[in-house]
Amino acid sequence: MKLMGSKTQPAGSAHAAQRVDGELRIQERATFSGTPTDAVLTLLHLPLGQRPAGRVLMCSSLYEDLQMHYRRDVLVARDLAQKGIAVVRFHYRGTGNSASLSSGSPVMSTMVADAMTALAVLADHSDGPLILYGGRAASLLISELAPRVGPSGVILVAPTLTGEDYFRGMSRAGTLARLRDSPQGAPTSLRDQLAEQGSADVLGNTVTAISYEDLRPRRVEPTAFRGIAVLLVQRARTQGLGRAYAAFVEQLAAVGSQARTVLLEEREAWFVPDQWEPEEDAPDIQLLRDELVGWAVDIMRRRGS
Amino acid sequence: MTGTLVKAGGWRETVHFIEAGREHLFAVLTQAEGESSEQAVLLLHAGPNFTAHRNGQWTRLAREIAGRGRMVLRLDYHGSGDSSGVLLDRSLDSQTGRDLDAALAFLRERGARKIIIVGTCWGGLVGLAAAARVDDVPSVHLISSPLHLLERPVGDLKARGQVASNRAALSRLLEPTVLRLLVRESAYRRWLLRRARGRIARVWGVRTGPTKVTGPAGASPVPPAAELYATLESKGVRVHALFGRPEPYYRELTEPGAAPLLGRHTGIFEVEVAPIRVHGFTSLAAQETVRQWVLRAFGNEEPAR
Repeated sequence: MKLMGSKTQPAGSAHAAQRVDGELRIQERATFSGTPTDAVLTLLHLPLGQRPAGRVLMCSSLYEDLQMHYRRDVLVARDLAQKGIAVVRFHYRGTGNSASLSSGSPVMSTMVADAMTALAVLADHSDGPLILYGGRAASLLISELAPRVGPSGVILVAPTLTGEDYFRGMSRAGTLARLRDSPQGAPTSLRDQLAEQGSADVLGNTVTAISYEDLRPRRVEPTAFRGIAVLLVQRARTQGLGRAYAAFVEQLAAVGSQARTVLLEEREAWFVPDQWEPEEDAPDIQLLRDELVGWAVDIMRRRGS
Repeated sequence: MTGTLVKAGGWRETVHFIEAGREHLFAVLTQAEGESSEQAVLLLHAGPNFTAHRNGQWTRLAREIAGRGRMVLRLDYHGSGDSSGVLLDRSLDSQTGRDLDAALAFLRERGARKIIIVGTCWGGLVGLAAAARVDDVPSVHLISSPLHLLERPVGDLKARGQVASNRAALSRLLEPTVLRLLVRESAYRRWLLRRARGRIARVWGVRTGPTKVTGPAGASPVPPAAELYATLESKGVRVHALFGRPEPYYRELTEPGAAPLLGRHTGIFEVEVAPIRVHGFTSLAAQETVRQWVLRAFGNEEPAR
């Protein structure tokens, strides 16, 4: 077996890019899934030379989060594949490299449809226990998906528990950035921009009114995770679990969900604040990877046995 | 599964892993439907991004350029986006140079005879260095690239990503807070060990554990611009640079004495200054400014076929 290499599949079959990483002992396959004019980019991470013991559907967040946490999600996916777990990641239509949407930016129905497309790709490679992974705004999606697909576990990384909170945070960040760029100019709020133009510019991301109105009223419902193991990761500069997360964990316990929490204290300069730091070297990213992978492997082992 | 994303009558997209030495680079190729052009465009991000760039700016631009008859490739360097490896060395040659050479070869294999490079920030500098190595890049478009850094010696730490000196690193290591963390937290010890390995690898050019070393460690007293600009001039390469007036990179470039070498090669440079920040595409206005500036390069001319 060739342990390093990349190739493009021959004509006659669906085009896919594949690579084998002998060092990590994983293989990766990228392709456009779905119909040709409406396709979703899916990225599959598989263990090399073994049948996967389980599956993880990784759902990224939206807008600025998508770019900020992109490499982190790639690294987590590779870690999981190294541990014998099949992982699929994808770009929602209207974002990244997938097809554009007539609505401009994603709404819950398109996000759910894209997640199901990615899940179908995963199903070709493993029928083991399923874990849903979502960061920030993707927690809203995971709450929609869980009752439909019946996962064995759910990983929520720095989840935004309501759409309202998500957009409020974005709006604040956008306002601060605009003040930095033009201190004399009066910043326009997300809501005012949407009312005036039908879309808003938040840190260089287009938020459409359709997307905002669809996602804002949504919330992460504890009942969606009834009887499911949940890993909740809080990333903050404070040491204790935040009030909203603490209440959420209590609600999870009330519906019979086993929730574990991980507190990641954000430390920008543990050692030397080099201005260029690969994501691989960031201390909180490494801790996050260790925690997530350890928990996922444990869930797979318990469900598999 | 489709494998290809298509806009009927416009363009089609496929994904690829391109081999570059030991690394596999993720890339998206957008091709015009019908007769293919001999002119191609290579879109480069700044490092901590992925192929689509913020708000899908590269995705939209690639599709728009392809709609005008060109072939467009957007690329993740090693250690970024969906590519393999760790992006440690941000000098202009070494593994990143190999990344660029592999991407250019990929486009040539698909019929490209002339390749225009468009790069943001550090990506623009990497593109300049690539243009000097080959004979089929007639122009390079730099978006808010730190050209002033090319006028400093190769060994200047700022030109290599502003990595703190080893002396500073050591003194930070001896601070009480760091020593306390070392004693109390095993996760911190693990992280520190890995970080130290990376630093040793960078300094001595040896491989230690999973961290990959790319590029020479030695310092040269000759600024990269000295040879680079002369080569570009002899090859007739045109360099188009776009800056935002409020940006630090523009201010630093225009300080007296900051760029004497650039001053000697003004014949190859065409600098345009926008009234707003364009660095990082952090506003929709910046994205539109860049879009128009890049598309203007193609004018209304039909591409060579």
